[in-house]
Amino acid sequence: MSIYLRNILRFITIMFIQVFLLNDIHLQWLSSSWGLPPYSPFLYPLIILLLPLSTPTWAMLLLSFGTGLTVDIFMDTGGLHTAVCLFIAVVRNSVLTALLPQRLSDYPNLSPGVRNMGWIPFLTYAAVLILVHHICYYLIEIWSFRSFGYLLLKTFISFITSMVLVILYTLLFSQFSGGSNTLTE
Amino acid sequence: MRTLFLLIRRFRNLLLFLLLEVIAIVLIVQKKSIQGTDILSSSNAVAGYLYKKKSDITYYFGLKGVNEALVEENSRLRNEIALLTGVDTYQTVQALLPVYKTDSVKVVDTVATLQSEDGNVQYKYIGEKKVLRYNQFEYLPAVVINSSITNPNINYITINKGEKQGVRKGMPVVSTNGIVGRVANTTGNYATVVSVISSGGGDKGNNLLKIGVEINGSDEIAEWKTGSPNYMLVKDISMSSVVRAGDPVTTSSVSSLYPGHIPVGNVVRVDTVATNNTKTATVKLSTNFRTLRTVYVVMNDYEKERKELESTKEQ
Repeated sequence: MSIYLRNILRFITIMFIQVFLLNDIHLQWLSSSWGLPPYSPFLYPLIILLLPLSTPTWAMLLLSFGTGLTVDIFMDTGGLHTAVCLFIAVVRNSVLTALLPQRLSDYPNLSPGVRNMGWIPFLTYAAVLILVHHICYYLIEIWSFRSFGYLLLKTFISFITSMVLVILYTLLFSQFSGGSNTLTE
Repeated sequence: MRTLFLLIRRFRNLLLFLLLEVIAIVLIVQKKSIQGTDILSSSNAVAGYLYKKKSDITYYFGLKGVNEALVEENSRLRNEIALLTGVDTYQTVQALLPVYKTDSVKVVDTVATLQSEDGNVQYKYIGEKKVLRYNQFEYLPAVVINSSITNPNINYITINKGEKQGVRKGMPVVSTNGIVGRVANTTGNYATVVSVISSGGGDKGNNLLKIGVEINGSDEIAEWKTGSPNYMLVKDISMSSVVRAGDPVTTSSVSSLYPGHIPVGNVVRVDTVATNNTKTATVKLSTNFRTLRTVYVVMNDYEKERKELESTKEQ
């Protein structure tokens, strides 16, 4: 399968899961009058996370802009997700460079993934970017440092949920050929 | 000039990032005001179509709950009709008012009896047609095709009725159980509704979206308890008014937004605020925003007339 087709299919799949399944799930721990705030889990940052390693920065920015705008249109949030997506598009390359031994342009046609990188580097990479995404998202959404504990709490519980979803997606949609890691060796 | 181009070429990624980020922030700021942009809302053609397809599929799973709610509403409406002595309030009532000049006619309860010469009693209407009573509100049923409850500022609901069916900006929306919100944007066949669980994004916890409610006959102002999709707060109740847990809360008939006496919820707790000597009541909403399916857009025939009268300056 060509790398373009694979990424387009992944975009449609993840967007479908996000918009039609996850947006209807309003998680709330302790559903009482004074309980924790309700929130929706996010899986769509994975679209940006799994773009090919050799994507140039300008293309990455435009693709994240499109991804964020699509989510915004479906969730009625103006440009909130767009702004946050642009942030993780900028951070992405620095994190990957720190985790991989060679330069990113040396890996043509490869996407970051468990098969290529191994579990620990991939999960580190995903955790850092999703944490950045969630902190930026809730910071812009709440738009004040007044209730800082509330912000941290919401970021933390939402981060855990998103990581569980990322791991589930990876387990479902990656082929494990049982071979060695091609990138880190 | 050449150095300028070189500079742009060198920082092209940074410039692109800043440009896109500015566009995103402009979109956010526009959305913060309720009369925001219509283009990027879920009531547009593509998103509206996809949400409608999804709703067609998931509608069947909620049929049991919808049926129960409809049965409940039917029973309530029947009770109300019984109270109103058989007058159908949802249709404009017309009648022929009898106008007689002869002495042999007695008018009893607006029915004229005419005593004919051979002693038979006849009923006759010769008056002109007059409208006895107008119905002020018309209820247009609509199906919810998308809704959010997690946003701390404004929560939107998308419904499958739009301008073609007569939905306009600002119209109130109610459900079978209670109030829902008011229409924010409309397109041909869809409309987005700002639900009552919205604060409008005011500074310092200030709530911009408030509704007039009635508790035990006194008019109060209710606002959303930010962060919780089930509760509203009624602040500044005077100490002399009697409010207890379990009291029903309805919309106020003084407010121009909602029709009067539509259920809002029940009081679950009452707190005394010592600093300004008032009471604050926490109200559990009777509308369940998680399972909202059918709603009614309320069209007020006299809304325009009332607005015109109230905006008239003193001469």
